[in-house]
Amino acid sequence: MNLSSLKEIKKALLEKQISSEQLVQACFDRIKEHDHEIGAFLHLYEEAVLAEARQVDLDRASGKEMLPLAGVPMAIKNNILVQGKKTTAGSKMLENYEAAYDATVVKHLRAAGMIIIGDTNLDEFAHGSSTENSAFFTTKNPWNTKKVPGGSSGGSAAAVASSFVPVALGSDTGGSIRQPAALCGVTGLKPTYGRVSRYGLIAMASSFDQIGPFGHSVDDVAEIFSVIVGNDEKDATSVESDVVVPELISQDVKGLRIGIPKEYFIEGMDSEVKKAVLAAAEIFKTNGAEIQEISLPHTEYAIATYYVVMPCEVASNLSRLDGIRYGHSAEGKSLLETYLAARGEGFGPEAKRRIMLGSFALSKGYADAYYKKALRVRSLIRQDFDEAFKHVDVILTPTSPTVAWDIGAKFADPLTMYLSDIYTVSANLAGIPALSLPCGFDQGLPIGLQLMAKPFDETCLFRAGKFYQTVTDWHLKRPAEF
Amino acid sequence: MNLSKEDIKHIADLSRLKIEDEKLEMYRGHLVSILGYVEKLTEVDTNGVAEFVSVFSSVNVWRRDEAKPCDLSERDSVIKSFPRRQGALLEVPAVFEGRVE
Repeated sequence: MNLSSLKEIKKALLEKQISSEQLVQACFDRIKEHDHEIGAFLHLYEEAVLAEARQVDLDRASGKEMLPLAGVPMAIKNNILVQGKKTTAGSKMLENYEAAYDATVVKHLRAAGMIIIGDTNLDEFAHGSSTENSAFFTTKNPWNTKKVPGGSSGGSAAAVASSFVPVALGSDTGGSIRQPAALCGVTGLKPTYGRVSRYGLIAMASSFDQIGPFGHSVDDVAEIFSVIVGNDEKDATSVESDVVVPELISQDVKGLRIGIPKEYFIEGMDSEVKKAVLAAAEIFKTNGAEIQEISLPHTEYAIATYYVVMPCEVASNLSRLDGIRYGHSAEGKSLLETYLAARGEGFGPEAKRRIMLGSFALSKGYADAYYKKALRVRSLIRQDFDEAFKHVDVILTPTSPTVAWDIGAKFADPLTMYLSDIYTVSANLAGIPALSLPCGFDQGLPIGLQLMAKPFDETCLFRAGKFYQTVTDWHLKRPAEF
Repeated sequence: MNLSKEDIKHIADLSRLKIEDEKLEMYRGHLVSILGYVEKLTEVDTNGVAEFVSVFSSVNVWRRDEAKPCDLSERDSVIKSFPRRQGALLEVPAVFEGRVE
């Protein structure tokens, strides 16, 4: 039985070929057998969850009307709050912190009857592109355990790629869903900024952060997206928007206008990645889409803009971790010493770097030259996209310039690591939705295709992505060991 | 952007981070390299360009200024997470040095 697609799982549950308890138990069995090689999970919620699953089975047996996803297991990134569970954000700072409430997305998942079986590893406070910045351990890529899974949502991507769970949630500030999805060969969505409530997501950079789903297919990602989307009075930046009904999305790409930005196909991109992405464009073209070259002139400034604005927001958001109210604490002779010691001990090197960068870029005498300048360039980057979307419906690019790299290879030089986000940060700077899906392999490692659309047009991404997955089978490939 | 070890110490103090002396040079190297890279923003002509405010032309989101009681289990969890507490009270080190009461 193929239990990696939501469609198959829902059918099996509905026809009582499997119970939710068996399904959840199967996930735990598989995780226990293989996760010591991968390191996708930080915590498993075994006992509580099996009881939840049994309750779903009892309800189903009694003939009660069930929601479509009732009893379906999933995992979430460990920077999303689940009441009573340790929500560490991958940091020593929050190693023993138990969430006081459920994030809004968790409430939505519970309302849909889904069963959260555990939480996944990440770079500390979502700072990174490899999960090597986790304070606990590095997650391995299921396709080759010597390679990174990408990050920062590397645990969620690896958990889906390993078929530990059919779907998972991550968060994306500069590519943290799409890049690990690409490196692990799964499908991942960063929604339009404001589509999904950030309430209960441990904030990294508040004007960029969005929660989004991972799955093996666009269908599954679209289905989970439709569960978590919506306005929330507890997140003033969330907006009311049309509900996406996955079943109603057209799978025809005739007349779809697809733009290929010339600035993305530059030095530094692997030739195999380029080949695979252009081959995907060719598939759309032969099936009736119109392909045109477009220009996003400020692309080369995206990383620089992001690495000014984002650390400023990080420095501000992480100031709440003062060692007084929650999290790691330290004894100091004065309040100041308590702050210095608690934060000095609790944060890892990458978090410290970003906090210091932000403090510097916001400090007196430098804020105009760095922070305000970067905000102006951010406006120009957004205008590039506004202009492009007058001519095209979808922008097609690689997700990552390379396939997964060796663990340790980029760890010593932060700037090299930052440059691996070159194709993903722009969507966060502009607030637009973007989808990554598998489109080939190089040296046995998955290559990711990125599709971007105008704000609130996730439907267009699903349309193009679903079509692509009906005519290709990259998304059906699984790592050999599994 | 050239930064000295003293500059890094100052930035660390502003950031409320205790950094060991032997690590200052490492952070100095990283910050200089990153700030050197972001200097390319000076190439962009931003005359007359407004600072980015938010992803959407947002308007204020208003609500009544009313206290809404939270779930008791949430309240208990919040209190439980205070590193130092007396009953339901959060214990904070003295703010003014030299005073002990």
